[in-house]
Amino acid sequence: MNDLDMVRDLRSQVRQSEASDLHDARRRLLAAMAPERRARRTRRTVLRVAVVSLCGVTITTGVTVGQTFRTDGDGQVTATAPAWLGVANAETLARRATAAAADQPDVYPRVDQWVYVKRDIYRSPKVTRRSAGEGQAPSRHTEEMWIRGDGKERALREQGSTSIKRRQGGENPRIRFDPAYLRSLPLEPAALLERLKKDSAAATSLPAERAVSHQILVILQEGAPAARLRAALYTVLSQLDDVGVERVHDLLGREGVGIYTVDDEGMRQEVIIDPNTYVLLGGRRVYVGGSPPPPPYGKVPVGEVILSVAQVTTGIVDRAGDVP
Amino acid sequence: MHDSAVIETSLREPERFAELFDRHAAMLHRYVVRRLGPDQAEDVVAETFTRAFEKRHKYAFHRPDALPWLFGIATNIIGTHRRAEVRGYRALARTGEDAVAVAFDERVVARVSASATRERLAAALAKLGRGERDVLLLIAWGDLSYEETAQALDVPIGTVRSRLSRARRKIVHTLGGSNPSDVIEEVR
Repeated sequence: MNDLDMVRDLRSQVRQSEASDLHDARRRLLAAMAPERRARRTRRTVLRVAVVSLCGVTITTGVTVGQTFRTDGDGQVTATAPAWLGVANAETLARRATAAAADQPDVYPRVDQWVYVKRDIYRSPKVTRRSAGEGQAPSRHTEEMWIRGDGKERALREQGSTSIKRRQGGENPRIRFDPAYLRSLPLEPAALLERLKKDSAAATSLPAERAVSHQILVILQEGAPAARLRAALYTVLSQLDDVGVERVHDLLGREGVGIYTVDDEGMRQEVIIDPNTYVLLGGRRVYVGGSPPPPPYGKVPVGEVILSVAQVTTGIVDRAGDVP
Repeated sequence: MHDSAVIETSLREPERFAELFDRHAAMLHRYVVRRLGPDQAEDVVAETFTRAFEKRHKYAFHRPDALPWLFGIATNIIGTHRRAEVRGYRALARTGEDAVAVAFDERVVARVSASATRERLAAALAKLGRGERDVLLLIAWGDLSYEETAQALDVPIGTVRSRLSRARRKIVHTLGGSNPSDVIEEVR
């Protein structure tokens, strides 16, 4: 650990701030804004009175029209019914996850500890045979991953191997899911969305919403976030465009709720959540058709599960290679 | 909608400025807690956003992300509390007990144990000049890039690099590093 990392570690156990920490600050800001808002409202009212008087209409009618206009303006942003129905279910799930997470303690490792994640992974052989470099891999295998608390190092152990492979950073070090990064994320969903937009834009060339959903998926599956952040990520996911929910089973046969989005290439990306504990069970990528598939998926039938991942174990350990 | 667009809209509709608070207040609050402790953090955040609101017409609208600007305002306010900040580092250095972390980590199970390194680090932070400490902590705790730090402090990026370099050399020296020139600049 270099000197800058040591500074980063100092007081890193300070928890994430939340709405209740900022209630008075927000109230103070709104109070500070009030005189200006009142002044602007007064100017508008005076203007309306003048215009209405010129038109020969009563003053009362003029003010009423102005107020009604403002109220209608807010009401007109309601989404259309079909979109609202699909999103509302996912949002309900996210709300319940948030409520359940409220009393759970955040457990983060120190920078010299490691987050351990064990996953079962299935890749459709119909795809892997056509993909260069993946043809030798079995369609289903288990892998264990470790990521150090400061995100500077990762380690991987493939199924059947007794040794671990260590590497600095990651495949794409700009897509971060290490504990130090996760702890820096805000828990308020609107703020979290903005932060993820900013961070994912710097990391990938995907369109904004796809980049955000991809980053959420990576964080959920590989970063093992604490319950409150996990619930906030569900909430952000549930508020993206064209999100749906469906009862699905993960790779281990566990029933869960799948929050899904469908991309332009006809791939449905699911995050599977335990409906009772709201823990992440895993995820799937399913080809649902509707557009010509990209080359590796050229002859894959509609409904084929391209990739399925089941979370088996997560925890915090002292050394890479240890298990909880 | 980018922050800059929200700020621009708030010139006509002041209440829209609250969106900026909802986006960034939590991140700023945690940063201020780490520097000053929880007792003063909310007050500093409130003051930061109030000042930002008052001078929003001066915002550099070509910068879509307002977080560096807000960090800059917060840093100025933190500067008025620098004696309290330094007292906190000195207390940690002297006793090994970090009142700031203890007061604000009741939900965190994996606590950092006391260590001589941490105490020396706190002593080093207490000794840094204000400008050096601001740069170091905006990068290490605020997670800003060099460029964003330069924007936040309204200084050239070269000044950020030199202040950071000086701060890191002092820290390495305090930690007992034998060769301060080993400090490696991170790519940011």
